[in-house]
Amino acid sequence: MTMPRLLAPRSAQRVAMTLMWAATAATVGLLLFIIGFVLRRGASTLSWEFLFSSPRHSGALGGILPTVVSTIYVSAAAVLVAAPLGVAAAIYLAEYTKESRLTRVIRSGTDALAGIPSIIFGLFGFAFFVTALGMGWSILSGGLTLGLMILPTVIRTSEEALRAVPRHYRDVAQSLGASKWQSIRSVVLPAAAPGVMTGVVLGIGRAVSETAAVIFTAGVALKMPFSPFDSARTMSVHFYTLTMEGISDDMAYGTASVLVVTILLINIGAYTIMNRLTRKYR
Amino acid sequence: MTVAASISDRVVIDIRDVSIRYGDMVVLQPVTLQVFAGTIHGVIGPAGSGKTSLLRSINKLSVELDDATVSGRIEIDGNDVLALRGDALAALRRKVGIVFATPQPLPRTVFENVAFAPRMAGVRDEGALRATVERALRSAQLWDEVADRLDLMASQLSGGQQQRLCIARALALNPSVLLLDEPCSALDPITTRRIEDTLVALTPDVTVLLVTNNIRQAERIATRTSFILMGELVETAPTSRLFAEPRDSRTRDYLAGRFG
Repeated sequence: MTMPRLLAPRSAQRVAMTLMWAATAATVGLLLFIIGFVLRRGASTLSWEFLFSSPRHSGALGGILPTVVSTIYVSAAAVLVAAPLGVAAAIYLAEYTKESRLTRVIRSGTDALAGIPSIIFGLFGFAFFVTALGMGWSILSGGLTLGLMILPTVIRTSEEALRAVPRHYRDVAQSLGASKWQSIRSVVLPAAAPGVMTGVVLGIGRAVSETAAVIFTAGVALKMPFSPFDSARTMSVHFYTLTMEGISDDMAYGTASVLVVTILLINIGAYTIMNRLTRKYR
Repeated sequence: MTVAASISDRVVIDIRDVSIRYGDMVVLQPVTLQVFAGTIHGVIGPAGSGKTSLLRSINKLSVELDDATVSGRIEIDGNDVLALRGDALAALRRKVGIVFATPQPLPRTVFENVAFAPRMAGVRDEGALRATVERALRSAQLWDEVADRLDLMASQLSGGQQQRLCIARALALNPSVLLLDEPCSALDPITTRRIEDTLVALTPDVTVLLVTNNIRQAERIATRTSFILMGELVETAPTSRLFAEPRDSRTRDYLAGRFG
């Protein structure tokens, strides 16, 4: 029995194509609009001097160098925490456990963790790292908090990437006398690397752009950080402060422009590396 | 007794009362089977009869990767395979190569595929590795075709070349036993013939256990052949005898193409 037709197949095809094209165009259009909007407002402020000099008068004048450096430090600390932990957890889940109640609990726990608002991570980081462990407002507190925040993303994307590696790679490696760990390290992980990278890049993106969790843990000190125990103000927090305290809209959008371009560059860079890797392992 | 006779009297793979199940599903009833040194032993039977499970149990791959439960006893040159684990199992697998039904090159170059097992075993000397790779590729009759493109990704070879690459890879550590799981099922007749020639050339240095869906393949190259049907070993006999005068009516029906 066939369903009565609403549309001739050819028309249905055309309608579907149009809808999908429109959805794609809307996504890309929105992205370009936001980037364009921020860059237009920030354009008058942007210069090498803005990027490479220190702020004066709470950021109303001068540049944003300390916030750029702080952003790099805090994000790097977050990735250093989340990448090894996340990949190790993903390897455990994908390679060393059988599907069971325990793995389901771990997985739904990870998903729940991913859904927790970042400001809650900020409060936790403040209570635990800043206060209880006495690390104070610092790059270390901020990095650890952000690391925990992006951990679920890294775990889930890495686990999916590991599961997507063809089963027979493991057969072949172990049948040739490789130990389980040798087979994971030399065959499975390299094949999963592009997917694992995607997770890490998504995590970096979130860490770089995060505001709420950082303001509570890394603080707002507007000076060049010299040690992991120094307080630091990231670009997002700087933007937030400049706007909310009405210090300077021009400086705020200048900072936002640098932030947006940074995130774009991280994504482009990561996908370029990823493409290279995939080609090598195809 | 001649030397040749004494060689082929020695049992290399000794399978005693081996049964295999996955959870509650029994795929192989207790099987007892001896494979003699330096011969090609064929295992024929329809798809789903348990041939592959048996083959994958001989190097314990089925236990570790497919969650199979294997009972009974499997000995290779006197080693109790099912009791081995960890390093001892890895050491055994270096002496027992396996080739799967579809060519499964690792995502590496031709050279690195063959060098994989020696590298995993700890060989670091590049000169020794080059010698090993050339010897293995020659044994698998692939050297002449790939000698000047060892840096090509293995996936860019043709299907038949990939399968001979997999044989070469399994031969890199000079195994005494080679297990083959329908190695020609994805290949054309001419390539199949080349691989059969390769296997014959490997004997008597290597003992070959050849699982095949293609009964003519067993007839062409196997010294002895076993017939497995629906998880039961029906009979084992010298190949010519099995094909000329099968003892069991089910063997006769299968060989006559009446089922399977």
